Formats: sequence, C-alpha cells, structure tokens
Amino acid sequence: MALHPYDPVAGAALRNVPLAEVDSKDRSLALSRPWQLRPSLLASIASHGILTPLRLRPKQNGLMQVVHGFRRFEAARRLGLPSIPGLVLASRNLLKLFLQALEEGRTARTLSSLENAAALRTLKYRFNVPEKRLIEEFLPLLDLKENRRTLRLHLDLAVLPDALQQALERGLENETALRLSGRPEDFQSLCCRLILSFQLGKNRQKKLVEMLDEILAAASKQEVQSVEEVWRELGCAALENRADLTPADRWKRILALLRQARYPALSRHQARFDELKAALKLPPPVRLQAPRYFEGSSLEISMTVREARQLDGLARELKRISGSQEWEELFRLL
Amino acid sequence: MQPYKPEKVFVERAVAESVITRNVLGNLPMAQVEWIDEAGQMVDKSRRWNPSIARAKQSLVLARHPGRFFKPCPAGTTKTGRRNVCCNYFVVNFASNCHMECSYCYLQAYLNLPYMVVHANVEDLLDELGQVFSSNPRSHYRVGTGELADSLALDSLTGYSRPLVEFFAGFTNAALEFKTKSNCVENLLQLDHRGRTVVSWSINPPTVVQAEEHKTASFEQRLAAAEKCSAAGYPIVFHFDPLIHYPEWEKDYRSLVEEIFQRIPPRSVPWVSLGALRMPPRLKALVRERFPRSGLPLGELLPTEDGKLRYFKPIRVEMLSKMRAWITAASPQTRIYSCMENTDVWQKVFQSQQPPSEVELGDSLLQLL
Repeated sequence: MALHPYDPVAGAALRNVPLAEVDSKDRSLALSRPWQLRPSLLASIASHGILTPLRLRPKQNGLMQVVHGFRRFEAARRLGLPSIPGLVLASRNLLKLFLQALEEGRTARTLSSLENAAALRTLKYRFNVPEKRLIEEFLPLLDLKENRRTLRLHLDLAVLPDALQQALERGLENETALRLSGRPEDFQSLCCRLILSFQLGKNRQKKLVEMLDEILAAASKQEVQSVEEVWRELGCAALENRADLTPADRWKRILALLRQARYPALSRHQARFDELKAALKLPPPVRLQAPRYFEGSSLEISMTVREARQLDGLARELKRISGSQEWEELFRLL
Repeated sequence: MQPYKPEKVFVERAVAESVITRNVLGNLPMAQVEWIDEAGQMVDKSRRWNPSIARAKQSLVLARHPGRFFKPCPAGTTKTGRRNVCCNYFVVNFASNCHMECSYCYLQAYLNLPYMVVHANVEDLLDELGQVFSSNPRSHYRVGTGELADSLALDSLTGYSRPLVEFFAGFTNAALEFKTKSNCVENLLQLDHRGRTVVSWSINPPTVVQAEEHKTASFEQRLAAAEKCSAAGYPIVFHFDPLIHYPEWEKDYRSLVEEIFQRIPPRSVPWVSLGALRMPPRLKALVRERFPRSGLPLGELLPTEDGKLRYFKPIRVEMLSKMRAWITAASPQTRIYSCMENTDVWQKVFQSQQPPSEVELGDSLLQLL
C-alpha cells in the first residue's frame, strides 16, 4: 500500500520498522560515516523522534537495507529506539534508489567533501559508472569542477583512514590529508594535532607537513626514532604545551625550531646577521634587510622620515657607523 | 650501464626508410613493432593510459621531428626573466627522454610524452645544421645533443653518432658535444672525427652514482670509456654537475678530481663545467615520491631568483670554489666554467669583477679544440 503521496516509486509503503529488522552492518549506500552524527540531530530525535522516514529496501536475507537516512538510523541505534519510520521501497533498481537518495540529500543541504567523495566512489565502484559520465554528469551535479583531477581527489578522499576524515571535517585541507595518507600513523597524528590546535591555513599546513616530513626523513637516515621522540628532541613538545604563551607565539617559536632543524646553515647565517644588525644600533626609522635567503649581493636600507632635519640627522648617524666592523661582516655574509 | 631493451617499438611511417629506423629494428629483432601514422597520437594514448614514468619508458617511439632541431641552450633564460651566466651553447634534440633513472633528473617533471622518443629523420637534422654553419661562417657553434636525452645511451641501437661525428668533421666553425652517463662509446672509436667532436661525461663520486644515478654506467665504467675515447684522439670533457652536498663531499669530490686527471691526460681535457644541484620545486616532490631513499631533497635547498631550488648560497659557493681549486691543481690548463649560476655566485667563485659574456665564454672554449 503506497502511503507516501509524492513517492515516485510505485509500491512504496510507509511502515514502522523494528530496529532489529534493519541490517546495521550494510552501509554500502551510505554517504556519511557513523561519527558524522551531529549532537543536535541526536538531541532532536531524543526529544521529538524521527520526523522524516528513512528510505529502506528489503534484502534477500530478510533484513532491511538503509538506502537513505544513515544518520537518523545511527541516532535511533544510539538512543535505543525500538523502531523507526521507514519508507520501504519495492524497486530492485538499486542505482535508481541510490540516485534518488543522493538527489534528496544534495537538495536538502550542502554535502560535505567526504559525502561527495563517498557518492562518487559508490557510483564508480559499486555501480560501475564510467569515469567520463562521472566527470561530465555527476561532478557538476555535486557542484564540483568538471575534471579528472577533481574526480581522482574525491575518490582518494573516500578511502582515507577515519582519523584523517575526521580531521578533514575540522579544518584539515584535502591536499594535506592526501599527502598524510601515505605516511605512518604517528606522523599523521602529530600533523593533525598541530594543524587543528593551531588552526593552520592551507599554505601553513603544506609547509608544516613538508618540513616535518623532511626533518624526520633526515633523522631516520641516522637512526630510527619515533616521530614523538624527534618532536621532543627538537624542543617542540615543550613549546607546544607552554601555557604562558599565546597560541600564535607558540606556533611562531615552533616554526623557528623547525626551520633551524631543516635549514641549519641558513639559520646560523640569519642568526649572525641579526646579531650584527643589532650591534649596529641603527636608529629606529632605519630598516636593514638582507636579500631573501641571502641570494643577492646587496643589502637594502630603507628609512621613513617626516622632515629634512630628521633626514639630515639619520644621514649623519649612518655615516658615523658606516666604517664599523659590523658592516664589513654584514657584507661578507652576502 | 643497464642496456635499454624496449618491449615495444612504435614507428612513424614517415621515418620507415631512415637509416636510424633500420638500425633500431635491426638491433631489436625480438621487439614488438607497431607502425603508426603520426607520433602525435601517442600523446593521447599516454593520457588515456597514464602509465608510470618507468613503465612508459619501455616503449620506444621512432618519429620524424617536424620542427627545428637546432636551438640555443635554454640554460641562460629563466622563468623569472633573470639571466644566468651562459656559455653560448646550442642544442640539437635528436631524442627525448632517457631510460636511465637519475633521481634528480629534470626530465621527470619536464616531458609531456613519457615514452622514449628518437627523431629518426637524421637527414633533416644534418641539412638544417649545414645551412646554419655555412650561412654564418664567422660564427662559432658548440652544439650538444644531451639536453633532453643522454647523447650516447641508445647509440648501440640507433647508431646516431656516426652520421653526426662524420658531419661535424667537415666544419671548422662548429664542434659537437656528446654528453653522457653511459659507457656506449664503441661506435665512436673508429670514426674520423678530426677533433670536432667532444665526448663528455657528467660525473659524480661512486657513492653518489650508486645512490642517485640508477641504471647508469658506474664511475669506473665511465672513466674506462673516457680513456678509450681519449686514446682515439677525442677531446674529453667532464661536467661535475650536479654537485651533491653531503657530509663526506669534500673527501669524495677531491678524490674524484685526482683520479680523473691521473687517468685522463690533462691535455685531453680542454674544459670542464661545474654546477651544484638545482631543481624546480615540483621536481623535489616527485623525487620524494619516486625515490624515497634519496637524500637529495633533504639537502638545504632554497628558492633562488630564477625560481629553482638550489643549495643555500654559501654552500654552493664553497663547493664550486673548492672544486675549482682542486681541478686547477690537477690540470692547470683546463678551462673551468660554471653552468646555470648567477653573476653573484660566478664572481665569488671565479673572483672576478664581471663574468665573461656568453659569446666570449663560448668562443674561448671552442678555441681550446
């Protein structure tokens, strides 16, 4: 008996389905993961019950398969509800049912990267939809760029380990997650911890992972050390937990330690430059700058002045210190 | 050197009659051969197939080069518009890609077509060079074939060296340079080169060859090949490029220089070049991915003015300066120049006010032959 007035599938029936009759292990059509259940949905269902029926279909083993509504099902399971309202679909065309569910999901809200990724992966590997069709038809449908690279990215995101997928939801960038996916778990874990706790943007994430990766690769050439050991030896672990510093200061100092470990010669050079510059005691309006990474043969000196008398004073001051040994050494650093 | 044995040879019909095609097919009787109308179709094929770099190299394409072979070496011009000190070199791309696997090789990140390609229309190549050299008799040309491929690694298959060496023997205003990491010199030894072909080796200490220059000839094989060519009267050149910085680099490179000049008579070595490791940033990521055991990307490589990553300046100034001193001590008459470095570093290494102009440097090298 078809009770749902708008259901496009003939033979659909609205029923209260005991939870025990639903195959909780079959998540083959799911777009979301169990951990993606929002507390607000859980609270709503606890107060008001499930207001919108799930879409289910009978399986040959006598159980029901969830087609759409995996989060509601997860909430019901956690709340220990005895049954759920379900629209039981008679159609055996699983692809059609999946596409209807996808349509319902994407029109009701914006799907996350991971949900898009799961949808594309299901279409490709469960329903054998050719790549050309995925690119030309489904990427635009999901508001994604219509190219092979985007498809590849999402297919890879769909198989990331849970920990990285969870970090993705909290600010880890897609490219960073993929780069981390091939690395050991302790490395993934350290990077995710730093990225999330310091709320690093895309470029900083990239830089952090690259530097840490290279520092650890260099360390492992000497003797095998765990990621956390190297982190402690660098002095970063102590800084990470310094409560007397702001997060921005902590990050700045950690970055300086990482740079020192990754680029020791440059760091020593820069430190000597800073020492000499400080020893010059330049007047505050005068700025002295070395070329980037010391690539170049000239120092840049700039100043900000408001009147001719001030300029005259600064010029005399610069002339007075121009013969100092510090200047000689500063030029030799180039 | 690990010899190249392609699984499949694609032959463009336009080069069916070329001597190079005949040589290759004659030397590879067991290879599967497919005739194709146009090599351009291989680009689409590679995009669809998307093979790994190593896999793609198992296919050899013999094709007609449709455009100009002869070009100025691009080393002096950079993406950012900065000019490096240059040596007025010209290149002829008779082939593209290399079956050897140097971890730092820029071809990995540079070539559109991942297959091994040999441009078999050698007659067109020689016609073009003949026109250039004859129409500018007062200009001097140093021409290399090793920009997009190793000059000699496939020579036992293609026999490309013979027509080139014999052609350059007929000109006094041009010289040919074969640049290689192979020991494939057998075809050269009986040719009448008249001193117009230079055979050069890109060379590194044995530890670097073993760790980073996979499938190439060993240091000993390269030096033995250089001895043979020297005995056959060829001028011999060494490119200490890329110089690699690692804890024992000083000891290893100093021994390298000493051994080379003990075994190759200094009078046979008109010039050598020096260049420290450099790479575009995207190559660094590729090296990490393809050669995870390579230590090269872990060096102190920093962005420089031309967009490439190079060792921190004081490191490369030290390396180049010390190499210059060791080479000068071993062979005072050998001219030394630096490849793809900026004026600032050149001045520090060669302790000069201004580096020579491109033409001055190029002509001065050619006069040494």
